[in-house]
Amino acid sequence: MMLSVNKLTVAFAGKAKFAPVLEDLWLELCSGETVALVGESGAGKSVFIEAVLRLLPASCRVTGEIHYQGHNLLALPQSEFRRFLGRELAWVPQSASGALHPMLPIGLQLMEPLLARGMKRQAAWAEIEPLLESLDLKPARQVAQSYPHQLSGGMRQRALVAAALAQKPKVLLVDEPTKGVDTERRQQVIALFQEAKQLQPELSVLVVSHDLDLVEALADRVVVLYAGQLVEATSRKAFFSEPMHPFAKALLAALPKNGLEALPWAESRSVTGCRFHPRCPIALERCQSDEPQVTLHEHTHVRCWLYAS
Amino acid sequence: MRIVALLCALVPLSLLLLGFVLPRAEAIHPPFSPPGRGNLLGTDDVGQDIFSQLASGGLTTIGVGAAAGVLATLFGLLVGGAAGYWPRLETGLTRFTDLILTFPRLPLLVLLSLYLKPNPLNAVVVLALFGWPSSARTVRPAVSGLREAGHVQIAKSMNASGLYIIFRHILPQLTPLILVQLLLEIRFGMVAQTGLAFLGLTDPSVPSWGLMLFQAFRHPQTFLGPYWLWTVLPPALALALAVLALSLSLLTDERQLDPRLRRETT
Repeated sequence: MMLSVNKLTVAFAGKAKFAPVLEDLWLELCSGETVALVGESGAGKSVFIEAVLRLLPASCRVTGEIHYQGHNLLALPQSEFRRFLGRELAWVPQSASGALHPMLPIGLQLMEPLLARGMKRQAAWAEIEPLLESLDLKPARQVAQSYPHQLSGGMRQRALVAAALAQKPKVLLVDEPTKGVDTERRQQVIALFQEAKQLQPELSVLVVSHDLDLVEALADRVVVLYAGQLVEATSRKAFFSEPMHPFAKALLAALPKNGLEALPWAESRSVTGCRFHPRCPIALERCQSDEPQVTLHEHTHVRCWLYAS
Repeated sequence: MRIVALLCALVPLSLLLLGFVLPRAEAIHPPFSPPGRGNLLGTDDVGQDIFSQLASGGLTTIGVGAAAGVLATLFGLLVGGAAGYWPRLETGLTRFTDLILTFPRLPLLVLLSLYLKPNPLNAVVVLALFGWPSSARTVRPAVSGLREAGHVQIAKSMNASGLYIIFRHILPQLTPLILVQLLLEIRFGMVAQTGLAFLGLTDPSVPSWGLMLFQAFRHPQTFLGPYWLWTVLPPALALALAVLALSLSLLTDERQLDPRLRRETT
């Protein structure tokens, strides 16, 4: 087990009280495995990654446990926690613009974490160059000398992936890698991560996305979030062939286009009973009053009254 | 533009250098003698050589301006940077900055020079003490904006230390801003020092361009003949060129420092 998350709750400081963004999330990521975290915008997917990396503002309250190789990351003092950053856990952020230092050449930005570890310049470049080449950032030397504003959005995205992979992490946390990427390039991004997995078979990847093509191509397991709660956790095969939770079904049926209306963020959180029931086509009466718990049902963890014994 | 700025800077800068070398002007020449072989720019009412006064005066005027500018910008950078980077300090430091900003600098300088010793050091201290808020106010929002920037977050996720982030990620992007602030403060310091001296509020034994103007204007004869041509014009022109050089270089700096604004493609 590389990463295991237990009862993780993240709350943002609101006007009067803390507003929970993620509630009681549990998640497991094994060595070499790829887990996809799917859900609507605002479901708390990116917040999860930021909570793992301690990138949330100080006003946020994070409770629960995040175990990484026997250490509870949330309980570690900052100085010890930092040992895990980069070498163990690497992050590919959502937006490629602004994620690169605008005043440093790309190559230097990619090399600096390696140089900071005491690596010589030439050795660092020897690490970076094949990586750039394999990510189609060619000619590598020219790309390395250019500034972020001289690259296209897709190239910057790939440069960010290169920056994360260059550190040879054990766990890669990827946030929406295909956001704003056209269909053709999407295949490239997918191929990119497949290649990364081939380069490092033991690399564990947690990918946050609502791009189901990407999920189907990459993920071993799928975790579905709805309004900050886990509603289904299952294998990729089960998720795509027989999703259990109505929201997972709706996701796959490319809803809400087919009649499922999106609720405003705050409204979706203040629902009593099952949070999904106002939008659920097959809601039962008890869904309106009682909140279901996560239960195991034929290898799938699901939060729904339909499957309650 | 850069060339014009350099040309303008040439005169005050060479005067500054000469100020270190040339001996102090002494009243040993005939008064009000026009520019000529013995005295390059003529002499003033007491027979001091104008050119050597101009050189040693530049040392005071530019020196006070530069020292006050550097100190004010540095202090503003510290206060503004701290307020921007650490949210806990933000409100307190911002209020303090606003408070200091309400003091009008020049009248305060005039007032204080009546109570303090009128030496250049005190002028520097007063100018810096009340000059830093504008730098702090410029720097704070820029720093707090960059604190949450994507590349700073990434650097944090790659185990970068706070100091590394400040010196590698935040400060380089603020360089144009800081430089502009510095030049503005130096410019203000030079003009303020000249103003004080022109009002006769500085030590009359310390030569400066303002003091030369003060002494020239004090003499009734100055504007009766051609005398103003060499007693008033040189210090006024030197100051004007120095200010103009700073103003023009304000326009060019940013383009040189930011790779995004450079014209050539690398």
